[in-house]
Amino acid sequence: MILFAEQILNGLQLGITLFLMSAGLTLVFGIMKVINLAHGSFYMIGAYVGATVTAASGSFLAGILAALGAAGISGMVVELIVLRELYQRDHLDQVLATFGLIFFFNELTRIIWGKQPLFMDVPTWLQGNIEIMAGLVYPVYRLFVIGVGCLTALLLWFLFSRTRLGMQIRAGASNRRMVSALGVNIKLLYTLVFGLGTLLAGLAGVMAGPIFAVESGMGESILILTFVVIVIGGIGSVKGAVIGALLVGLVDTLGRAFLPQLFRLFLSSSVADGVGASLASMSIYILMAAVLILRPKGLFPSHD
Amino acid sequence: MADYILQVRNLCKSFGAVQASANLSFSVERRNIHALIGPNGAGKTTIVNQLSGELEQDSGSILFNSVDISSYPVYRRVAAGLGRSFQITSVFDNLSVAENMALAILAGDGHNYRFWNHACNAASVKRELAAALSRVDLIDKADRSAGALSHGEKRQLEVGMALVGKPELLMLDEPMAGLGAGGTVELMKLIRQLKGQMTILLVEHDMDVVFALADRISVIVYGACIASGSPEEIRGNPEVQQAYLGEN
Repeated sequence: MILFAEQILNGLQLGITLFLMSAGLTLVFGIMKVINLAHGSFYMIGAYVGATVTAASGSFLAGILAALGAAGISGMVVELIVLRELYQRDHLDQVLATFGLIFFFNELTRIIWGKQPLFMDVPTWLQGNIEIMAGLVYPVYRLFVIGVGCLTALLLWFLFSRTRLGMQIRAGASNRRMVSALGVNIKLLYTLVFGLGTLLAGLAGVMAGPIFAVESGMGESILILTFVVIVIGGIGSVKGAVIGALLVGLVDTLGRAFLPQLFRLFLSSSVADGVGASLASMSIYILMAAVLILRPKGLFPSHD
Repeated sequence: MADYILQVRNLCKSFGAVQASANLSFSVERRNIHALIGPNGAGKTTIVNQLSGELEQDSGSILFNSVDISSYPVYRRVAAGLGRSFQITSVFDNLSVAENMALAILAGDGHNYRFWNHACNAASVKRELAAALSRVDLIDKADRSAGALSHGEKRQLEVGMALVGKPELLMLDEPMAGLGAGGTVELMKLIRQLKGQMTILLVEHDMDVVFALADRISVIVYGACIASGSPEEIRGNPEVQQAYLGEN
């Protein structure tokens, strides 16, 4: 029971990181119809800049702010220089160009920070563990990640449903010509949306910094999970990103924790561990396949 | 000297070997309903897209209130007073009727990027929403999702959204397309009410509608204007008859 609750929290924490990543990616695809493979690079930029500024200033909050700024601004620069040229092109050109950006950013971080991974310490005020319930001791920092993610989801919900920028973004997702015919500067709107997306990726990156190593190429492994999330949730839907991210986070974490034990009930332990572990690493793809069979456009297909 | 709100001069636009606009010139007088007609594939929608700024011309110029707007992006032309509707209805199905209209009101009031404000509580929205919805007879359906409206109502909403920007020139691209007889009558009534308040450039297939509404008509064939004149002049023009009735 304690173990189960702990794994649920782990799953939530992975899910929330994935949500921060996939919200931006699904927005950019939903509105600009651009497949941005380089989204993971902004996660990496957030992690590197966050780790460096935290180490230099001694303040984790300063590190978070710097990571948000760096990821958001570099995203807008990339939109201006690269993405604008790609809106009219087909998806293959977009995939090739943004794939190229991955190499560019990975190499750039190697040039600036070298090949050795950076390690980011959990700030002192978030160190240690807290006893949530009898017997369940959980790291404060991971709870902090969950809290920040929930807060961000709330802010995004407010932005989309309650503000005029949000209304323009929702409108732009359903019909960009009409938005532009109403007199909205759609190019500026696109740049802002792209910057918002990369800023969220940067937030995910800096939050992950103290949990994983900060290294060149760290964006790619999470990028694949992010794509699984937005395919499950429905491409272009922020609500889908929330649900998809939590599903993937929970299924992946719980699968890894409990599938081997489950198989031990009727298989010898060595076989059970092997089968369980390999099934666990496939579990999110099985989930994706099942969702696609039942709902080919994802759980919450966006309007077209 | 007539007061021209829009002057199109020697506009050219090609897509590969296809000439969508071929040295096109015509002028629209202020406060007229000016119709653009022409056989299918004459390039009428391409012309509207060039006027609205969605397509860039290869050469030629567009003067609006005597200012050359040829190089303006879409949103600057809208700000200058050039509104449009689309051939395919373009309301936002995922927003409510009121939200659609609020979006149009906010887009027009110049504070586009004070984005943190609550959209539907903005002063300009509170002031204008009810009037803007009643003008197109949709006040009763304000809270409905725009996707749930009938085809004719979507058209009304779309025209209403274009009107919110107080355009000096409103371009209506085939507004009657896909409407039943009842919808056509409603929309004609609306267009007639607008006459005198603004200039309307009407692109339309339905000749009954065109001859009932238009003050001036320009006939477009293969991207060029072959005749411009009053409805009577156009009706009697042998070149126009030939273009519509086929060669010889």
